[in-house]
Amino acid sequence: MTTREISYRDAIREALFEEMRRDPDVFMIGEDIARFGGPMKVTEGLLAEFGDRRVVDTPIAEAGFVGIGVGAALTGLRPVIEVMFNDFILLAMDQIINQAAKARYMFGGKAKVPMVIRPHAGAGRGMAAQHSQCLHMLFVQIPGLIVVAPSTPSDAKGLMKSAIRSDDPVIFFENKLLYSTKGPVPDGDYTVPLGVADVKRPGRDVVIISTSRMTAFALGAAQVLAKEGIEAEVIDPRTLKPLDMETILRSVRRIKRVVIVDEGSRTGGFTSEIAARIMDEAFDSLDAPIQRVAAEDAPIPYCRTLEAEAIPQERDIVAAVKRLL
Amino acid sequence: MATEVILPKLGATMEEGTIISWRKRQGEATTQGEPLFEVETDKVVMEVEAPASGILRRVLADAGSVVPVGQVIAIIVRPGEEVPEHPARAPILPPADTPLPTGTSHGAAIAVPSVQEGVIASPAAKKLAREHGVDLSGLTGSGPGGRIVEKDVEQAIATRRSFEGERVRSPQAAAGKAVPVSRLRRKTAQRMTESFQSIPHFYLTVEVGADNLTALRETLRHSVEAEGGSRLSFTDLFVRHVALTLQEHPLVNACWQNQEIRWNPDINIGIAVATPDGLIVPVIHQADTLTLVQIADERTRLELEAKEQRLAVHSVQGATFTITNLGPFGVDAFSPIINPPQAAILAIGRIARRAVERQGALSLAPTVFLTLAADHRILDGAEAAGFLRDLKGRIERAEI
Repeated sequence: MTTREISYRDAIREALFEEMRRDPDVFMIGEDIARFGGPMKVTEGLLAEFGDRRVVDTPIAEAGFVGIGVGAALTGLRPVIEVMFNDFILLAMDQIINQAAKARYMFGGKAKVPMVIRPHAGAGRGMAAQHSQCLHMLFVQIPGLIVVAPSTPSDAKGLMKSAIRSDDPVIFFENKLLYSTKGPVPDGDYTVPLGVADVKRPGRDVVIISTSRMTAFALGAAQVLAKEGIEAEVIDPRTLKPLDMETILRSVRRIKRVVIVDEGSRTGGFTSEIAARIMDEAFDSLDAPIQRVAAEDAPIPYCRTLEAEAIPQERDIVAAVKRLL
Repeated sequence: MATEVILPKLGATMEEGTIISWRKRQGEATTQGEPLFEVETDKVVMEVEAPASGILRRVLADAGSVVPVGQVIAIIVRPGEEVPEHPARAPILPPADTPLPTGTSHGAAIAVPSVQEGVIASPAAKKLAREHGVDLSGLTGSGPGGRIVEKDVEQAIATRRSFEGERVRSPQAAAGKAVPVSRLRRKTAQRMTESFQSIPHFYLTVEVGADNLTALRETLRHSVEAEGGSRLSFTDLFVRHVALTLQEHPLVNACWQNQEIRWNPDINIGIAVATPDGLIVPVIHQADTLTLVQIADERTRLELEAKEQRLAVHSVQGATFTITNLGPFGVDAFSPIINPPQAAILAIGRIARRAVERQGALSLAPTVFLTLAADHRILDGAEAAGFLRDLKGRIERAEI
């Protein structure tokens, strides 16, 4: 299979182009996505090819345009909704949690909501407390939603295509600091299945389970550790819900020492959830207490120095691994 | 981070211990798992391993000090690390009056980790230990905070294997060479020398008719096996007879300690067991309260654990009287060495058909020679003879 080096941003854009060409029911809606090409420039060029009936700019009214998306999905269309910062998605929570997530169940399977919502998450740009959160866990808690958080361009493209083709609502978390990162992306039409984790680096001494941008940090930490003879295995769940515990447990049972890294909150966070699942299902395999590396329980500071302290860094992962060995 | 060295609890009844010696001087580097100090309890002398690697600082209990269990007796710090503030020396009792070690010598072969109670081990380590019958309380953890991790159990299993390999090696290979002895051998040498040199032994031997005893064993063998599953041995019958006789002769069950006689509340009978690595004396506790089936089961378990070197500390502690049976080796009679601080030890020879006088005529009947070695500081000839007379009567009548 031949590949090209492209950015995470371009990979998602390619997925949107390809799916909109493949299926005329797919349309884009959101703030500044059409004429401006998207605040993160992900939707650049879509308006020119697909026109303003399929690439729709909206006012700043999250509850309204997410609601439009839910309604459109119920009638059979496949909306892809950009909400910009995931911090803004909170305005549309009723539409997502009470409507989109529940419709299929409450209509006895006769209705479905094939909808993708694209928030971007993450700190690291000094954008302060209301523009830097990682709120994926709010959605992981909700039955009826699929939650995706890719860490590489190829996963982003393949998962976006699967998300658009899914008949259930998908919250597709992009990370604002990953948009410009590059990586190999296969040519042609391919998908990455929802609910399947990926071993990003095989190892022997410790399993690091990391999400989204933290996977890049985990791989960096693994390189540092490798110089000291410590071989870390890095697993990216890719889909946060449903979670591929099988892949995680396979590594945990073999390696027996676990570090979980997530940019979301430590308390009640994604790291807590995975740790609890591992305790449930592989307690006897653990040779050390599970280590969690997550954001401090504090608003993300505007000051860059403090911001870096508030969220996990490569060195925090290295330190967590060393606590285990 | 500084690690406190604590006097571990080495047995259920241990409340304090005497620091016999430090293997490291203050300021010296120590590695986790290395012998750090030797402690004596009322039962046993043991080496305790360093709970962490680093520099030994602030030794709070000098050799000879009596220290309560759980007391911090030293601090191990990382190189360059400040010695943390520590409360002033907690009360440490003055050195014990007598430096003469007491207790059984045999527990000394068991390494004890510096944990106070419970064992800190990872789930994976516990699982592996369970699968391989490894006693975690005998291991020192290499994980953070001294946690026993899977690797420690793997090493214990590997060591056990290599040790087993060592045993079968032919002694010819060592011919003409001086070979360092095991810790158990060294301890046995030391304790037996001490005992034989310091205890005024005297010996009484009787020939005991064993007709009823052998008949009793034949009668009970099958029902005991059916009930408990263990093979009923003559040793079991002797344990039972001795235990019941000791009830009537508590002085024979007593101990010599600090120029005083200690009367023991329980009758705990040690049984000398030969293992490929040396002599071990596991203990049948409160033997007078056990049925023959229970004695046979307990003795079978202890012998097996002794041979597999996995006896718990408790199983080698607290004997108040010892039995040693060389009958199975074809020995007619022998003179044993007392296992201090006990008052006496009973040597059992082989049961053989010997010429006996019955109703004025010579005939052949099974007999056994019993030799009691007694500590003359505790027992005089008449008392020891009384015990032996009653034991002989009980065995000849096969009164269980």
